Parts: sequence; structure tokens; C-alpha cells
Amino acid sequence: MAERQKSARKQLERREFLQKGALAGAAAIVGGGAELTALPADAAAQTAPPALPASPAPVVPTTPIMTAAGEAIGPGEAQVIGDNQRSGSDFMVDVLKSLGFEYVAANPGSSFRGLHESIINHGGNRAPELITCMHEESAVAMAHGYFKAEGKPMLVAAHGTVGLQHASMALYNAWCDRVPVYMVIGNYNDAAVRRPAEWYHGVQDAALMVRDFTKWDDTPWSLTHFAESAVRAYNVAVTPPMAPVLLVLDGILQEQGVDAGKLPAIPKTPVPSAPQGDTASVEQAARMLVAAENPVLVVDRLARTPNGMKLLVELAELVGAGVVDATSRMNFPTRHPLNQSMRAAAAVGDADLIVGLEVADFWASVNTLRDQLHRSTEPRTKPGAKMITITTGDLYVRANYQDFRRLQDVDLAIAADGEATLPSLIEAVKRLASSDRRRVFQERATKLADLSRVAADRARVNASFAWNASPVSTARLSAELWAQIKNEDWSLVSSYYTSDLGGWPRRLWNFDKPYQWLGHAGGGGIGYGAPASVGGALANKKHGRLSVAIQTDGDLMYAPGVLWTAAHHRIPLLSVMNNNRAYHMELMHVQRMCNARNRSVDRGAIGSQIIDPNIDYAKMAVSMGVYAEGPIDNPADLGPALKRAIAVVKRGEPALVDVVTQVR
Amino acid sequence: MRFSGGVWLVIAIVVALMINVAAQIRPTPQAPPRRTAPPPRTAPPPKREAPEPAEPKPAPAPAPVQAKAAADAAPTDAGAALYRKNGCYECHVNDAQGGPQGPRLGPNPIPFQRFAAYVRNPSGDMPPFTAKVISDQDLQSIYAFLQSRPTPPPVREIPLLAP
Repeated sequence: MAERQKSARKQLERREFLQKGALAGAAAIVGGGAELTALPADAAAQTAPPALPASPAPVVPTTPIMTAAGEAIGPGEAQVIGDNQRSGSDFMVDVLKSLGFEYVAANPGSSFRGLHESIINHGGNRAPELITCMHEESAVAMAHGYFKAEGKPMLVAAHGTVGLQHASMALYNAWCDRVPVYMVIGNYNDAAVRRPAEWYHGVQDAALMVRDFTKWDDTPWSLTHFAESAVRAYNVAVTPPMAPVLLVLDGILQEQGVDAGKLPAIPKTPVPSAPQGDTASVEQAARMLVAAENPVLVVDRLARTPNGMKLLVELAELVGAGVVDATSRMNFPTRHPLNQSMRAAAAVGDADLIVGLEVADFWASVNTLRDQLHRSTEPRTKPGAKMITITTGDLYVRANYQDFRRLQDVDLAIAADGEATLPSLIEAVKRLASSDRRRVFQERATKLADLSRVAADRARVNASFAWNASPVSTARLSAELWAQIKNEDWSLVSSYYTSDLGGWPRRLWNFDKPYQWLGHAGGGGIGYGAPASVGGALANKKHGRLSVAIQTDGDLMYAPGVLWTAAHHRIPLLSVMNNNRAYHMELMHVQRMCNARNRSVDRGAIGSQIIDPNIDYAKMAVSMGVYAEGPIDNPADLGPALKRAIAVVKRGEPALVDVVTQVR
Repeated sequence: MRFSGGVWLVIAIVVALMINVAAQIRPTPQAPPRRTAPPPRTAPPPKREAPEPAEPKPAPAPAPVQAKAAADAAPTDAGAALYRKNGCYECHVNDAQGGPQGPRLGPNPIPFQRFAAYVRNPSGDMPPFTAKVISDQDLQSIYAFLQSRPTPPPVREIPLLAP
């Protein structure tokens, strides 16, 4: 059969060659006349003298296009792949290894059984190593957290259709957070070969359901196609603006055998560099920064790499500008004197120039929206304040999902990567800043340092209220945890909006390293925190960092099986429960509706509380092999419990301390 | 209305009793607390924080009503229950210490008249509570609860809050 296919392809190629050669010869004879080009191709071929040689056009050797059929060893009765053969998925593993994946997070599924086996046996279950997950959403969220700690994507493998549906929420979070997750799913594209169960999972266009919130997808039809698409997908994913990508791996392509000597080459295309702002715009931004009397830098997803924080510190110190950190990344040290995040509204309100660097919602940084029955908005800025944005958000806007936010009038918009643009912006400011202006910058920095010190003092006073209360105040929890970790090489791997305890860690702790803060979920989908923290801890493991998560109760219960994953793979992680026994944010929304409708304000908590019975998170964790203590509602018991749990984590295992907390 | 010296004494005793009761109440019905030792009574009152988004509007009426409101208030355990039942804790947190969605309310709340006016017609993000859903009397009970919130120890006496 294979010989027949080879023979048929040779005949086809010969026919094409003769046809092209004949056309070339005819064109040479008539000098490219209009009569000939007007003829249909078939007619032209018939008209041209068939015996004329193809000269003078040289015959350039070409690489034949390799299709799946061409790659495959023909069907037969053979049940076992021969010694000189490789499965398609073995080659896929070779390509994935070339991309440098350390781990592949997966919940097993038959549509990628070929790849699964190749990872284990051909790949030796190393780089990538399989991480067994109990939900596809957990697998993707782990990859989300891993990227933000490690700075490179994690591979996720999932069942087609049903697995991807489970994964979709986490993909959406990663997309909104502009985090590259590299996902592969299985699908038996050819309906003629599907086993009965595969019909439920088989799909014409597997990636369709997530195409609105992935940056690119493809369904390779051959290993050659796979190799190119796999490398392209990686480059697309990690080039700013970054986002998840998806490859659909045909089940037969994974499982069929190929001649080991015919394997396609693996492309070595380098990752493209990030787009920088154009020289003229950067120069203009620098002039505005130097001229401003009170500039403020608002940052959000700025620091893509550890260098991002260094560059931002350099720029802020150079111009004596306050920094307001919207905290989607670890952008700026929390205790830096120019950090004005604890007085963000005042800092923006005082500014005559606001520079937004990779801010996901710049409109909300400079406006307020009052969430009442009749909504209203109000600018936070003073009249005449100038605004600049530098963001890859201007390079990537999709239609359906509305994560692009309201459009803010600005004076200068630079469509470029913020971190990549900072070096040229810094250099331009250095060139333009006179010694007089530099004195002004210094004086401004001194004033801002005073203001930030006052804000920090006020935060400590605020933290003292309800200090001895039970349930434990979120400020007390934060302070107790800080006391236990501050002398370690720590990393706060998960914090979901208010699960960072109303901002207490960032107000009370000294964050000054890039891996100490991993931002938020991105899309607001609850269930991110627990798996993302395990993913972040997995990345931190080889660096010997003490990973700490402040884990909300509602979030954990979306897919608590990730605790088993942490135990099974010996992922050291301290999870401290912020257990307020409610989906409290939603509870407040329903309460607001009761008030707006002027009725039964005492019933707003119905449907949003997690009580009766209270969940015993410590017992749940213990059942999955995780050391655990709690529930703790006496703040005096918290410190010793944390100390014991940290000792377990330092042995290389996960631990959980369940703390019953005040609601916020 | 004018009160005699005896009446003022009674008011003072009632307020003191209310504070004592409030110090022992359980903020959440789901989680019976085990309170640690109460903070020292000699501690000076903390500085008021800077106005937050939901800072009440100035009230037109003079302040003396505050004393009467406290005197007329229901016991603070009732105030605590109303504070919870009506959802005040959701934003202002279990002990009225404030949080990301609502400022601190106690101890040392703003004068009752301003407090009541703001609850009825808030200017910030707080939803309004009309007389239909919370009576004036219940507001007074809640106010008494706010007044009874324990004063925290000074920050300098809390090693965990050292800079």
C-alpha cells in the first residue's frame, strides 16, 4: 500500500513538473504574449508543444510536501510499531521537548492517549513531567500560576470536547490576564475511525468554543504540520500581547506509526522580540514626563520579566514620580518611598500627568463609577490633567468578550509593550532632564516619601482594630503570617482580589522581589486561586522558595482535588484559609439589590453563605494527604499553627491551616 | 430637653454596661468565638483615619442628640444582632473596623444625626437603608453597638505591626 502511495505521488509530481515545464517553455516561445495568458491552463497545456525541453528555467530541487498520508506507514494487520518506526506522538513529544516545557498538567483522556504514553515512555516523563490533575480547569489554572512565577509557559493536555469544556473557564482567566498557556487536546478528526465513545467527544472544529479567548489555534493534519504549528503556537503565545494557544491533535496522527528515518525537521524559529514604542512617540512621552509638575505612573501588567520591576524603579526614581500599582503583576516594591498605592485616589487626583503602563482598565484608574440604582461616573483626575498610555492592549482587541473596558480619552497612546519600551523612555528622559528639573524631581520624591510613610502608618493603625476579635480579622491573619515568613525566601503565590485580605499583605508586607506577588485571576472566574497557587508553588519548588497562598473557601471548593495533586507530587505549599464562610462578594451584590428595591434587607445573605454545615477544610485536606490544622478562630492560636505548618512545607510537602476569618 | 445630674449618672452607667456587654458578644452566629483578653481600657483612642469614599455628609442638625441617642438605645447585643441581620457587617466588617468596601464605623462613631442621615441617603457607594427597612429605633441600637466597639491596643504595643 505504501509503495502504491509512493508511486502515485511520484506520478503526480512528474505530471505537475511536466505541466509547469511545458507552460514555462510555451511562455518563452511566445514572449509572454497576451494570447497565451488568456487561455485556460488546460488549453494552454494542450496548445504548448509537449516535447520542448523545460530549459532555460533551472530545475531547483524542492522538498516534497509531506502530508499525513505520505508520512504514515500504511495500514495492515500489524499490531505493534516496529523497531525502525516511531509513533506520531513520539515525534510530538520531541517537538514539545524542544520548546522547553518542564511539566504537562493533565487530567487523563482517551483522545490523547497516544501522547500520554509517549510522554511517559518516549519522553521518560521528564521535561515535560506529567502532573496529574483532577479537573481540566485546575490543570489550566496551574499553568496560569506557574507562568507568573516562572516566566515561561506550562504545557496542558486535555481530552477533546469534554476536557476543553472543563478547561474553558481557566483559559478565559488566562486570556484576560494575558498569560500564555500552551494547551493541546485530542480529537479523532476522521469520523470513519471513531470508537463509539469517541463520537461524544468528536468534533468538527474542536477549538471553536474557546477561539474567542485564545490567541491562536490549529489542527495539524500531518507531523510536518504539527511541528510548524507547535513552534508557531509557542511563539505566538509568548510574544506580547501574550495569551493562551491551543493545538488539536488528531488521535490517529498521534497513534499511527511513521518511519523513524522520515521524521520531519523541528523548526528552530526564535521567539520574536516584543514591540517597542516608536522613537517619536517615546520622545514625546519623555518630554511630557520631564515637564510635568506632578506625574504619576499607574502600572498593572507591566512587569513581564524580573527586569520590569528594575526598569520601573529606575524610571520612577529618575523623575521622582509616584507609582500606583494596580497589582496584576509584581511591578513595584511595596515599601519603596515612591509607592503611592495606599493613597491611589489622592495620587491620581493630584497628578497633572498620568502615565498608564500596561493598565488593563485605564478608564477605571482615572474615573469612578457609582454602583447605585442609577449609575453615574466621575473623573478622579483634576481638570487639564494629561494622560499617556503605553500598552499592548492597543494591539489586540477582540469583539465578543468585552475585556477591553471603556475607552478613555488620552493625549498620547503608544501601542507597544510597556516593559520593552521603558529602556528607551528612560534614556529619553535622561537626555531631556536639565539639572534644574532634576532638583524638582528630587524635591517631589521627598514629599511623596513622606506621604507614603503616613499612609503606611495609617494602615498599621487600621490593622489594629478588631485585633483580638474572633473570628480572626484579616489584618491579624496577614500580620501573623508575615511574622512567620518574613525571614524566609517567600512567595505569595495566590491572591484572588479580596483574598489578599483586603490588600493587607501588600499594605503590611515588604514585597521587593519579582516572584513574591503573582497578581490575580484575570477574568474574575472563581476557582483560580487554589490551582494557580499549586502551579506557582510548583514553579517555586526548584528555587527553594517558601510558597504561601491565602486561600478563600469558596474558591477552593470549585475543585479541591488540587490539594491531592499537591500532595501526590510533593509540591511544598502553605495554604492559609481565609475562611469567611460565604461567597461574600456576591452576598454584597444581592444585599445591594435588596436595598435598591427597599425590601427585606435582612435576607440578602440567602444563597451566598457556606454554612450549615460548616466545611471542615482541615479534615478535607488531610483526606487528600495534606497536613492540616484548624478550624482556628482564636487569633492567639494562629501563630503556633502557622509555625508547625511551615515546618511541614519546609520538608517539601503541602500544608493547610484553616482560619475562620472576619468577612473582609 | 434638659437632664438632671441623676439622669446623666444613669446614662453613664447604662453606656458603661452596654460597652461591657458588647465586649462579650459574638459577632457571627456561625462561628462561636473564643475571645482573648480584652484590650486595655487605658489605651488612648486611635487616630481617625482619613475620610474614605463613603464618608458621611455633614448633618444639618447640632450634635447633642448623640447623648440622647445613646441613652435611648437598645442594649448593644440587640444592636450587634441588628448590625449583622441588616447586612452592615458585609462592608463594614464584623467588628465595624472597616474593610475594602466600607470605612470603619466604631469605636467613636460620627454623631448620631450625621450617621442616621447618611444611612438614609448615602452619597458614596453605600446602598440606602430607608425607614421602611430599618426603623429609627433599630438605627439607634446599631449606633450603640458601634459606640461599644473595643478600642484596640496602641500599634506600638503590637509587635506584629512593627514597621
